[in-house]
Amino acid sequence: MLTKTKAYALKGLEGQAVEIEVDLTPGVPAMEMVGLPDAVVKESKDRVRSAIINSGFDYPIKRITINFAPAETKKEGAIFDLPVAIGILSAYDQIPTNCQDGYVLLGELSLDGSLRKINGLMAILISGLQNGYKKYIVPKENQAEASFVDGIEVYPASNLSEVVNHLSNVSPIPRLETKKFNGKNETSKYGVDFADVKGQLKAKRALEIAVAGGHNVLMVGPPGAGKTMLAKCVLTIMPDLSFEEAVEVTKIHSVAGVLDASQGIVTSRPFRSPHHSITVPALIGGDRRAKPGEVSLAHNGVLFLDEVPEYGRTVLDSLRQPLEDGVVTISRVLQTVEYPACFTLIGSMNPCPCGNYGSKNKECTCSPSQIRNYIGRISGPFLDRIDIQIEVDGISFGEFKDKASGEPSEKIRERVVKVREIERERFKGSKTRTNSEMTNEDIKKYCEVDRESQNLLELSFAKLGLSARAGFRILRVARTIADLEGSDSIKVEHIAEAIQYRSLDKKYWK
Amino acid sequence: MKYENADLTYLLISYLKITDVKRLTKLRQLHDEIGDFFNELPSLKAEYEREFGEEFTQKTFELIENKPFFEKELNRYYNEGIVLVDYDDSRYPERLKQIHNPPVLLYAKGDLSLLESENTIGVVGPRKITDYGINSTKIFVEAFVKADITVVSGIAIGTDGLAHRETLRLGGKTIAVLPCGQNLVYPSQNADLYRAIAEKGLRISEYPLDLGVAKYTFAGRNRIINGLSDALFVPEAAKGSGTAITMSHAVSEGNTIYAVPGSVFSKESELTNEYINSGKARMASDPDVVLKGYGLGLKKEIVELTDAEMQVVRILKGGETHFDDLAEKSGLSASELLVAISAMECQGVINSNGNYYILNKNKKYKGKTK
Repeated sequence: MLTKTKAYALKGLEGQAVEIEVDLTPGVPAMEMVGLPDAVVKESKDRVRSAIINSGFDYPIKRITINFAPAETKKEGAIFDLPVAIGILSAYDQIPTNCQDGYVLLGELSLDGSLRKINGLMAILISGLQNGYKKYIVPKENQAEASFVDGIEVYPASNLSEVVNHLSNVSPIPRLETKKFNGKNETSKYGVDFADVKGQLKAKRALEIAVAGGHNVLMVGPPGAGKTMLAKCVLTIMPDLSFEEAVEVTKIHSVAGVLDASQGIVTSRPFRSPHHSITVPALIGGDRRAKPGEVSLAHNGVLFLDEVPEYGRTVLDSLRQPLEDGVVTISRVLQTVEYPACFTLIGSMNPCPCGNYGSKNKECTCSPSQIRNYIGRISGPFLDRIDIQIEVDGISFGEFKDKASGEPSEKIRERVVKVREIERERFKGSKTRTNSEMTNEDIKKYCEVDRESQNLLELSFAKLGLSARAGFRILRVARTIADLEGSDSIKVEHIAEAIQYRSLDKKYWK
Repeated sequence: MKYENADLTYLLISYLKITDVKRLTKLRQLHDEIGDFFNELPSLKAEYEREFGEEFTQKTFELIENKPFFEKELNRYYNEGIVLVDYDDSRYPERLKQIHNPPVLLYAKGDLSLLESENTIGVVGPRKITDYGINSTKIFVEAFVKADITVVSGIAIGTDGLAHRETLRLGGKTIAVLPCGQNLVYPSQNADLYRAIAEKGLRISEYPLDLGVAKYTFAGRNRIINGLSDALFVPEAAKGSGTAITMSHAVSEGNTIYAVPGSVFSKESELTNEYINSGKARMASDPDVVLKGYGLGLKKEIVELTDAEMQVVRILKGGETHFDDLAEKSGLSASELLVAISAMECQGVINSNGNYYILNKNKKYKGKTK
C-alpha cells in the first residue's frame, strides 16, 4: 500500500514543498529512507515508531520504504516526523486512506506522541500560501506564529492522536483564528528613554539624524560615558514596525530559532549586540546549514557593536557587503541562500586601550603607538561606511545633578517618522530606501548644493583636513538634516552641521 | 661628473667623523684653499701627523685614495636635490655657530633661504600630546606664522608634527631637523610631512644620506633645533621625557624657553610648570608674551560674526566650555549650535577637543553690522 503526504522543507528563508511517499511491502520489518535525508531525518524512524506505538496505534511489521521527493535536494531537520508518521498510519490503514490529502503536515514528534515546536514556520507558511497550499497542521506551540498568516487554514495540534482524530474527522480541531498585528513602537517596551539621558545634546541630535536617514554611527568616548545607554535609546525613536517588515524579521528569527514562540511575531525592531569574540559565520551567517547570522537577525533594526576595535579585523571587514548591499549571500556546499540584512550599525569604542585618552580628569597610560594601533584596527573601508562619528564624554556627578532632562523619545520619533515618509516618497520605485543608501547618482540628483555651501565644504576640507570621500558622507547627512527641517534644498547650515559629525576624521585618522 | 670641490672635501671630512669645530678649524688652517684639499694633502703629511697624530693621518690618506667613491657619493646627493651647507658656507646660520659643537656639514633639502630667517623659534613637546597641548600649540603657532617667525621642529609625531602641519597650513615658514639621513623617513606616518616640507619648507639633517635613526641621532637633532632657534616654545613637558632633555640643554646653551603653564593635575605640564617656577623658562601665558620677547607685536585680525556666533564667543571668553553648557547658556538648539561651531571652526575662531570648545585669542571679534 502506498500513500503520499505533503510536507515542507526550509531553504534559507523559502519553503520548499516535499512529498513524502510511504510504501509498505511484505518482508523483514525495517524502515528505509531515500531522497537525501540527513542524519536528523534518518533518526526520525525511532521517534516515529515510538510516537505511533505510544499514541496507541499499531506499528506495521513490514518493510517500510519512505521517499522524500524531489529526490535531489537535501532534507534536513526533524520537521518531517509528523508527515512520516501520518504516512505510515495511512499506509497501514490505521486512518482513512488519503484523508491527509490537501493538508501540509509540519511537526517534530516526541516519543510520547506529542508535537514539538519547529523553526522557520512563518517562512514555510508564506511560501506555501504563494504555492497555493491551503490547509496546514502545525504544532500547537507554533500557533501564535501561524496566526499572523492570512489566507490559509491552520489547525494547531498538540499530539499525534489529535492530528489523527482531526484527519479522520472524529474530533476536528477548530481552525486557528488570525490575529491582528500591532507593531506600534512604544517607549515603554524598552525601559529606556532619551529623556533619561542627561546632557549629551550633540550625541542625541546625531542619533536622531542617524535614525531618520538610516545612517551608521560610531561613538567614541571613555568608559562610562553612556555610549551603550545612548545606543539602547536608539530603538525608542525608530519608526513603527510595519507588518511587512515584521514578517521579514519574523521569518529570519524563526529560521534561526530565536523567535519568542508565545509572541509568534516580532513586534519591535531587533537590537542585536553580539560580543566581540564573535566569528565571521556567526555574524554574517553560515555554518553547515547556512543559518542566518547576527546581521540578518538585526534586519530592520539595530546592530550594536560595543568596543569596535576589539572585534577581529576580518569580522569587521566582513560587514562591508551587508552594509553596502543590505543582503548577505551565503554559499555552502549544499546551497546558496540570501538573507536580508538592512540594519543601522551603531558602534562604540574607547579612544585608546586604557580608555582615558582625551579625558579631562583621568590620566591616559597608553603610549602613542598603542593608541595608533588601537585606532588602526578599524580599516579605512569599514570606516568609510560610517556616516556619523561623534565623541561622547562622561559628565561628572556634580554636573549630572544639574543637567536638565532631555526631550522624550516620543517627540523625537515623530520627527524621525516624518523624514522616513519624505524618504519613502523620494525613493519610490528605486532600490534605495534611506538617505544613507543614496548612490552617487542619487546624490547628484537630490543633494544639489549652492555656491555658498560648496565654499564651506571646500574650506572645511582644507581647515579640518577632511578627505574627499568624507564629502559624500557629509552630503548624505546634510540631506537628512534638511529633511528634518522640512527643507527641499540643502542649505549652507545643513552642510555646516553635517561637517560636525566627522569629528574623528580630523582627530584620529589624519 | 660636476661637483663643487668644497662639497667633496666636506663629504670626506664627514667620513673622518670630525665633529669638533676646533679640530675642523685646525684642519682648515693647514690648507690654503679647502676646495683643493685633495691636491694639497700629499704635501701636508708632516703637518697632519704633528697636529692630528698618526692614526688620523693614515686614515685621511687612505680615504683620499678613494676619490672616485666620494665623487659618486656626492652625485647621489645632487640627484636627490640635496644641498651641502658646510661650516664655511655663507648660508650656514650664524646662530648655529654659537652652540658648543655645531655640525660641520648640513644636508639641506628645500627652501634654503629659510636658513637666513630673521626670527626663528623651536617648538618642542611630547609625542603624546593632550588636547590642551594641541590647542595651545595651535594658537601659538598661528601667532608665530602671523609674525613671520620661522618654526623649527623635529618632525616627530605629536607636538613636532602638529607644529609643522599647522605652519604649512597657514602658509608659514618651517624648518624640520631630521633624526636620520635625507633618504629615510622617520617616523613613517609623517611621510606626507617629509614631502610637504621639502616642497614648502626646509629639511635639514647632519647625517649622511642613508643613516638610520639611533639614540644619539635624536639627541643630535635636538641640539640643532636648539641651535637654529632664537627661543624654544614648549607647550607641554613631563618629567623624564625627551622634551626634558632638550629643555635642560637649552638652559645650558643659554637659550630662552617659553613654556605654557598647565594644570596642577596634569603630568604633562609638571615640567613646564617647574621651569616657570624656577625662572628657567618664561611663562607663555599668551602668544603676545612670546612675540614681545622678539620685539614683535601681533596685529589682531578682526573677524565679523553673526549674532549666534557672537553669543558663543562671549561664553567662550569665560574659558573652555562643554557643548552641553554652551547650548544651555546660549539657548541655542544643538543643531543651531553645531552650525555656528562649523562656521567658526572654518574661520579659525574656535578650536575643539572632543566636546569642549576653546576660543582663539589671536583674533578680535565683533558682530556683523546689518
